[in-house]
This record gives sequence, C-alpha cells and structure tokens, in this order.
Amino acid sequence: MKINQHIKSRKLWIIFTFLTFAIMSVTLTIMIVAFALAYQRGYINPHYGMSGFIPFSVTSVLVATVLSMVVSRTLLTPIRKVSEATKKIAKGDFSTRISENSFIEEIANVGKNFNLMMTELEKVEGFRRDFGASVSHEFKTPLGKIKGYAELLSDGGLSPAERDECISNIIMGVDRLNALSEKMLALTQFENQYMVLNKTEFILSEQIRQAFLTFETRWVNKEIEPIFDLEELKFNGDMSLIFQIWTNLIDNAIKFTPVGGKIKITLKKQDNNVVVKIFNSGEGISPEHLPRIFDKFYRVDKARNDSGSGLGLPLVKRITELCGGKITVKSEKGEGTEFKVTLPVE
Amino acid sequence: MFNILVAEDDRELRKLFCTVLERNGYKAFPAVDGDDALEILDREYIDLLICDIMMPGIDGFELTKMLRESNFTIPILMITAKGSFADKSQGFSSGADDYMVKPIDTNEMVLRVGALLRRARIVNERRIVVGNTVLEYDYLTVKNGETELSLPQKEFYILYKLISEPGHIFTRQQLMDEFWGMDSESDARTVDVHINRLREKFGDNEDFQIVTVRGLGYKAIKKK
Repeated sequence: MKINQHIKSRKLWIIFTFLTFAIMSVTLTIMIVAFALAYQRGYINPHYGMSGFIPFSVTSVLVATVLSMVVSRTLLTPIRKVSEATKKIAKGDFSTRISENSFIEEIANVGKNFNLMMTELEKVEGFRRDFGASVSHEFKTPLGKIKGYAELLSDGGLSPAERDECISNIIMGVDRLNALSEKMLALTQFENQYMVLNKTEFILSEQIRQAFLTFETRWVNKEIEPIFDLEELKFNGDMSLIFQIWTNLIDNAIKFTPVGGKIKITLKKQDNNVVVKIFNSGEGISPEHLPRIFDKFYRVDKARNDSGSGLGLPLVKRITELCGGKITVKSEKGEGTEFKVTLPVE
Repeated sequence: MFNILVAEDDRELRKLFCTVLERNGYKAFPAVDGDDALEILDREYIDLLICDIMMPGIDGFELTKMLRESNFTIPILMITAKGSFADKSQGFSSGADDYMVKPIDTNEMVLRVGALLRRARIVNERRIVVGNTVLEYDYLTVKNGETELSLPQKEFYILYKLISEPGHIFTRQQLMDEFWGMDSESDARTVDVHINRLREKFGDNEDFQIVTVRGLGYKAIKKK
C-alpha cells in the first residue's frame, strides 16, 4: 500500500490564526453586506442605530459559530480516523494504515509515525507467526523420538544393548530440546529492533580465549589443534552478548571439525573495526547451502542427529547486527569453513 | 567419606542428586532451602555444598556470600536454570567455586564434585604430590627425591597453580590476574619470563612438564 504525501504541510498555529481571521473577516463581510442591502432596501431604520447592534452581534456569533463548526470538523477528522484505525488494529488487522496527507504538518506526522509503528508491528507479528510454526515443528520431532524410545522401553523384550541404546537416544533428544529452548529464548529476546546494550570495556582477545577454553574437554578429546593469532585488543561493547558470538561459532567449529583437525582464530584491528576470523578444517559447506546457513532452523545435513538447535548461527548474526557489525562466511569443500565477524570500534 | 550438602527446593531434583551422590560413595545431606542448609551446616561437618540459585528465602547467591563472610571455605557448586554469561560471572564473584546449568548431567556433577574436593584437599593440605615430586605451598619448595629447590614466590605460585589442575590450560591473563592483581602495571609477557625460568629449572623433571599452547596459554601435564 503506497502512501504518498502530496500536500505540503504547514504549522498548525499559522493555519488556526489564518482561519480565525478568515472566519471573522468573512462573518464581518457577510454582515456588512447584509446590512448594506437591508439599509438600501429600507428594512432598517437609521434612527434605530444602536438597537441595530444586537441583531448584528447575534448574527455575527451565529455565522461565526457555523463556520467554525464546519472548519473544526475538518480538523478533527484525522483524529477520528486515527481512533477508528486503532480499533481495527485492536481487532487484529495489522495491515491498517492511515493517510499521511494533510496540509497541517503535525497531523501529517501523526499519520506518518502511526504507519511506521504499524509496519514494525506487522513485522514482529509476522515473525512471531512464522517462528511459532517452525518452533512447534522443531519441538515435535525430538519429542516424538523420545516418546518412541520410551514406548519401546515400556514394551519390554529388549536386549540390554538395545535398552542402553534407547536410553541414550532419549538423553540425546532431551539435550537437543534443551539447547533449542535456550537458543529460542535468546533469539526472541534479541528480535527487538533496538536493544539496550550494556557496554563495558574488556579485553577482547582474552574473552575469545576464555570462550574457546569453555569447550576444552571437547576439542581436547577430538585432538583438535588450536591455532591462535590474536592481537591484544581492548574493546568497548556488551561483554555478555559478544561472548555468545564466540561460544556459538566455536561450538559449531568444534562440531564440524574432524578428529585431528584444526581450528584457527585470528583477531586484528582494521581501520575502525575489529575483525575476528574463526576457521575450522573439515569438509566445508557446499555453495548451495552457504547462503542459507544463517536462516533459522536451517540445517545442512537434515539427517544429522546432533543436539544442535539450528538457531546458533541466526543468533550470532542477530547479535552481530545489534552490535552494529556484520558476519560473513566462506567455505571450500574439503578444506574447511571460515566465519568472519567485523565489529565497529566506538 | 565426604559429606555433601544438597540445597535444592525442588523435591525430585534433591532426591536425584542425593541418590547419585550416595551411589558414588558420598554421604548426602538434603536441605530444602537456604535456612535449612545453614542449620545443617551448624550441626554437621560438611565438605562441599551443592546449592541451587533459585530458592525461596535465602537464595544461592546470598547463602554463598554469607558463608564466605563467615570464613567457611568449603567448595561450593552452584546450580541454576539460567545460563547466561552474566549469571556465571555473578556466581563466581559471589564466592562459588563452580557453576552448572540445568538440566544437570548427574555424571558431570559427580566429576565436578570430585575435582572440587581434590582441589580443596590440595588447598587444605597445601602440598601437591606428582610422581616423585612434592610441592610445598607453605615453604615454596619443590622436592624431587633428594634435591630440594626453593623458588621465588610468583614462580612457585604459577607452578603450583598449573600442577593443581594438570592438563588444564591457563591463559597468561588468568595467571596475571591471579598473582599480580587486576590492576597490575606489568603485562602478560612477565608470565612468559617466569615460565621460561621454571622450564630451565625443571626441564629434566620426570614427573611433569610445562606445555605452551600457542596463542592460548600454558598447562602442566603429568609425564607417565
């Protein structure tokens, strides 16, 4: 719905002053003309000069009132329209918009801002609907599996090895659900357009190291070789949010690095930005999957039975954007994948 | 036999933790909230406290603070449903020794309890034995068989820290923060200097070795 503002808007007070002047002038002119005519036709006796005043005044007031009523009705119409629009929205019609056309600047702005608000609300509503549907599906799959395995166990007649397998599959399903719900919560919190960032100064290089060390057990067990080349840099930003960028990317990197592979992390200052590159060796991501990996719930290997939530990368992208930065990925089949996060320095 | 106090208001979780602990050779004391925990701490000798953050009345943070202020140095393992970094750092700054997020993997819980008790023992005993080498915290000495070496304070503390958690990587900044204080003027390369000195002195020690993990930090590993 394209809304054009093609009437030039002016300040309200200019219009009102002009209107009042116009109303009174018009009223006076009508009265003078009426009296001139009446006097000409002899309806009015000149000796009754003073008493002519009363009918004059009364008529003035009547005419002015009628004119003012008509004019102010015109001014009040936009307010009425806004009121009607909000009623429609309350009923759930988020596509409602109001006119941005008005020769009065303030009223034109009401229309503009109202429509801006509605566009944002529509986006949020749309996101909520889509997300709700995806989430429901994402929950149903592991829940179905857990139920299946539990029913198998309940039916009995399984060998001890089969029983163990059922149980470990149930535990895996629960882990997956847990990761999903955590990420979902994080993602919904960050979907606001503007978020208050709690900025502090911290040592970025040390934060990346600590993020990597939180996964020490996993990469040590996989015999992954860490290669670190970090400039010692201080950074001013939301420590807790930015920490999640690294933990999510490193978590992924470890997951997709084969045993004995390597993970390389570099940190450099480049003009007004800090650039962090996280590379992991491995089979890489093919070109048809690459542009979609930041989509919610997108998984490269649909058959993969891992505890991933499918929300780690969308979360990273969202946080990076909230910090005013950007994230890109490049990958080579058989070589590995590299994520590059660029964050602006205040 | 170690006594573990479990402060958790959720009845099923409390039962679960206690059962798992007892099955692993510990004696578990259940507490339904902070006040109950304090009462048990008065009565019994407790080696380690596992407590939930979200409890009615005195919550996990307050309980930990109170204990630390009364000079209770027992290791505390905090458990919570929240998982954000901010909560983790708040947990550690209030005095907790370790932190786990629900849903708890009970196997992991047992491992962490074991590690915390070992660390506490090391701290309490103030000595570490690795193979034939003995580090004495109160004397800043490293004895290997017949030879006894006395080390300067910072060198000893760094070595002690590395060996108290063999295989665990410590970043330079971590060591700096711990032994030089947060507002120190020195930079992380000072740590490198101390590590090199330690390597010179213990290069041929058969029980341990200090390994550099480039870009990350240092770790001590046990030689078999």
